Amino acid sequence: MASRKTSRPNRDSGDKYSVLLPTYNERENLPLIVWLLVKYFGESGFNYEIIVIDDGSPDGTLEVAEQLQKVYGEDKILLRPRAKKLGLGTAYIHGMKHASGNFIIIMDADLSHHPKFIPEFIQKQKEGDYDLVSGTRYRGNGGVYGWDLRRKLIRSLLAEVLYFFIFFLLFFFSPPLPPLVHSRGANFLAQVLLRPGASDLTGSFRLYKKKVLESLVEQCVSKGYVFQMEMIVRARQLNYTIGEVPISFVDRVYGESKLGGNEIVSYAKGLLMLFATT
Amino acid sequence: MTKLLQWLFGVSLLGALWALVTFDLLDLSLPQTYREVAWPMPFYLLISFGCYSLATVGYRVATFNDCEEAAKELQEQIKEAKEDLRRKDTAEFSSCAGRRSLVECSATFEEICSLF
Repeated sequence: MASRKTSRPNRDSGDKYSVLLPTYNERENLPLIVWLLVKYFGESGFNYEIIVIDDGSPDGTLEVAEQLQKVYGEDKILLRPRAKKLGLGTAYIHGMKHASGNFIIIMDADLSHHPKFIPEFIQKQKEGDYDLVSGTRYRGNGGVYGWDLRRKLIRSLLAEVLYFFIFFLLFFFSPPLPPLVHSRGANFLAQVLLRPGASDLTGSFRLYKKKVLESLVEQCVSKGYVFQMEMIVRARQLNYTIGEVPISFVDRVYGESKLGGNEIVSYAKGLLMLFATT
Repeated sequence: MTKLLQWLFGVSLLGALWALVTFDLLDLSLPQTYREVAWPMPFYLLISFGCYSLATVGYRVATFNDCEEAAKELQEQIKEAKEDLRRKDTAEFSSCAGRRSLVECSATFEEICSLF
């Protein structure tokens, strides 16, 4: 805890990293993710704070967060709860208001994003003074645990090349396709159409310079699934520099983020909107 | 220039070039063979792009990183974290509802729910 503050190699850089953790029903995962964050920040010696933005979880995530605050200190764990579930973008704005770091790290609190990659993110950022560093599942040692072949096929970046091909064939043969193929395929369509210069568009494990995130969040209008994609596409449009770090994504809750028909439609709308405006 | 305009620009450029050769718009009196090759070219391009895509997809899916070790490491760290939190918890305060430790809160919650 706070007793080992002296003579850390990375303390003196003056940089501070605020980790934004939007939570909803993460009672079991929150203590674990916080423990891991404290462990890896402690080892690497970077200055940090963790901001928990709980959207009125009925399972009492907030109580758990309060206890963690007692364990790790109020300077390390900050609570910015909101009354009900609102958008991700507003969660970032809300959390950032009180963030004292000059860098913001956003990640999921469900343990699919491992804090061990954060020091790598920071290193990468320093290497090229990047405006944002994005975790990618599709490059280098990056990958995913917990997806079967079908899921891999659907989720992996280049499976979406398949979609792109099918997209053209549709004009000739119009074969029926499962909706998930459509939705994930649309993701690659985004790669081909938008060429955003990042291999993982929908990943949400990223490090931003604070002022960069502020300006991006201001401009991003999408919700849900498209939001992460819009952030990185707009970043490229605004000539921000993007670094990438391969991450392993451990999908413990199998079947997470299933896309329904409505989401596919809003995804397609978001994609076309980005296509026409960026 | 938006991506949409870039694409329109690119496609119309290629389309114009194709039409130029296929229909001999400038009266260049190109040999007949040129026109015969150019005419089905868009279709060929489409098919070869599709084949390329399928090959790449097959390769990438087959070599997609499964991260078994990352999952194992996480499981072990979760165990370690739970033990450590339990220790910290009992040391610092008597915790959740005054009797349960932090990591057992979820159990308490489920018990309460099951009462109803």
